Amino acid sequence: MGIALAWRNLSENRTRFIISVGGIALAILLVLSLDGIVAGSIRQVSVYIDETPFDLVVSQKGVKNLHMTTSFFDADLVDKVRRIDGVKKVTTILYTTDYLVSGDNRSVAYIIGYEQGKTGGPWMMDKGTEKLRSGEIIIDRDIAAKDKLLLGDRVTIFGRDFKIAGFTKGTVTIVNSIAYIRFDDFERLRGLRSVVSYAFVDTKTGNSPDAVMGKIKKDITQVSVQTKKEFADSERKVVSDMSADIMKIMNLIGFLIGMAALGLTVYTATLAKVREYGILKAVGSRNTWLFRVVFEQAAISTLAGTAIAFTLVLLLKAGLALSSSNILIVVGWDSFLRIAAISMMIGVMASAIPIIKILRLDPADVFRR
Amino acid sequence: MVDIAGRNLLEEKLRFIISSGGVALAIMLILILNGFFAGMNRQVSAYLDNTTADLVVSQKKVKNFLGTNSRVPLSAISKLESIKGVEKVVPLFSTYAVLAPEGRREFSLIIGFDPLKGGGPWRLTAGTSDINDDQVIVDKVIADRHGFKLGEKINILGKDFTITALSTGTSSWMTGTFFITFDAASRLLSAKDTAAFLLVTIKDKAKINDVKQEISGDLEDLTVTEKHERSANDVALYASVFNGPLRLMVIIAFLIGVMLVGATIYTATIERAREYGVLKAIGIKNHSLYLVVFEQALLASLAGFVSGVGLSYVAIFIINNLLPQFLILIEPVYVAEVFVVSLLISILASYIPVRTIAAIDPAIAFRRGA
Repeated sequence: MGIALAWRNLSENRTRFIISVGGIALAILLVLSLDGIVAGSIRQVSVYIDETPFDLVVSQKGVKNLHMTTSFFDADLVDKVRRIDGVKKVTTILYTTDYLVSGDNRSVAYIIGYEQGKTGGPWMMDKGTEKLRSGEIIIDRDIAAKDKLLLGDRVTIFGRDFKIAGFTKGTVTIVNSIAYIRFDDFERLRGLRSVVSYAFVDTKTGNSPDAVMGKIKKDITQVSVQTKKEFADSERKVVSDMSADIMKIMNLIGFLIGMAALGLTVYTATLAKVREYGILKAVGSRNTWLFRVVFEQAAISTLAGTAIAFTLVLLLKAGLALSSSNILIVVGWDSFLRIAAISMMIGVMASAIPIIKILRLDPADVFRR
Repeated sequence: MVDIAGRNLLEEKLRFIISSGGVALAIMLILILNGFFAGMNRQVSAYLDNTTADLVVSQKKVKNFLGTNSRVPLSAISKLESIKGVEKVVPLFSTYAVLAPEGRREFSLIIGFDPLKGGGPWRLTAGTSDINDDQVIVDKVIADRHGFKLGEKINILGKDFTITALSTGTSSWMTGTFFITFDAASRLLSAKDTAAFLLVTIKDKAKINDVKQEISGDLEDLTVTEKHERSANDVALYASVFNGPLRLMVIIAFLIGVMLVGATIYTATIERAREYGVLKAIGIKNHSLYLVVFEQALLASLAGFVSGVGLSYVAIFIINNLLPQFLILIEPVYVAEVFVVSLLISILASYIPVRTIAAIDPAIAFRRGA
């Protein structure tokens, strides 16, 4: 009975219902989309670590991630790592962040100097070869498409021209892409000798990565060593701390204003129907029943707004994917349910405020009021 | 007409506050989120904006200052100093690094400067910029955040440095700046006999193009740009790549904010349908009715806009006190744009519901309005 009345009362004036649901949907869309952008940005950033197979990573002492940092340590230490009990294989890369330049187009890229055919190189080729000759480079196909580059074209890194020999896919994040060159090219152009940036360690079957990590830490104190998960977490944390700090606070402000707007919309919608509630009170409806009707109306409107907002955010996500944007929107169920629950709570609370006055009235006074 | 509109609005204050409040919330949303974005771009170029140099010399084809791996041989200094019109050449290292003081990660810009030649912090709140290779100048915001005190040691890329001074105005939302000596940076970055950049000050600013041309001719392996060009390149690069999601957030906030303004005014107009019906029934002409409605919409919108701008400044004051690393800029041009758009949306949002009332016969207006 309550739900039926609540729905009839809402649908009686469709324009008003649409407007209030629309207002709620806008507020929730704001919150969901901002939250999704922040979550997506953080998710993307550890793609290189996630996709490269290794158990442990060794870096310059104190360096715990890749993003916009510098790591160089003595290559002799890599041999020491190889001799640690439980270590199966060690491969090394040279790494820095630089600009990939083609004409007037510039984009930030992780530059990886890798040893051909070993861990640390591209994990998914789209075109061309991963066996590079000196002076050749592999870049992401999305960057190539954006800058209208073909295989054989030239791009500049480290102030030197490189010929594009291959395209990878899936390496573009919100902050950069990944480009690969030969290890020896990297060494030569950066004037490096007998140093590496990171060493990827595979452990022997039956040896726990944590135990091997303990041995490396004990025997080689001049470097830092982490598990793959720690390295990836650290990478996401860095982006979260640096760029996501601003995103998080923008998200928080969006959330607070969005929820306030939602509350105001439900409050206004309830206030507009105060006469109807007064009539119900006048014909003898009990307060609990009236409360139920009002809450159900608020819940229906909020639920409808949430559903519309969720659909719209999925459309936005699909639209971004179709437009080859490197912005990823991630709306996890936990985030969606959290936002939906808070919205529902605020909606119901906002609907209670205007109705309390009516409930305090004597039924005989209602018509006058 | 304004009198009727104003009286009608103020007759039920709660309703007026609600509609103005809705507009104010939307305006706050738009201005604050855009303020973060604008402030962020301003902070990107803070170091170069505050150096006294005129030209920046880097490795060939490197046109940015931030996040690059430029290497310039130190031998270029003497060549530059011999060029007519050059007053001073300052070698510099700049690199990003993630420091982990007390376990908390701090994405940092490390500047290696020569205390005798310059290139260090432009404003200090404590200590001196005359540091040695084991000392560091830390930004005050970063120091406050981590509780760093003068004389404490912090680890930068595996080496301990003693904090001997605090700088101000050198942090941004993204990084805090750590100033160490050029020689210390050179050792940390394994970059012997090179610098990342050479900052060139010229004697006669009017002859900047001549000096620039001469440097380009004499040092073909290097790239020379004016300081502001490089700042603009940094802002453009960060705006085009790094700011993608932030820009999208600002756009979403703007669109939703504008739609919320529209929805609020639309609802407020619908709520007054009875009053407009009464006006129609007592014979008000349609153009006068529209005038009253538009005036009410504009008054509510204006009140909401003014409150929104005021509340934005209050919110910014609070945020700046809690999180001083963020610069939030309220740009007058943007405020004007938002003002115009919100007024236009308000007029449109009030026009849609009132045209129904305007179209009906005065005799049945009472019934419809009620």
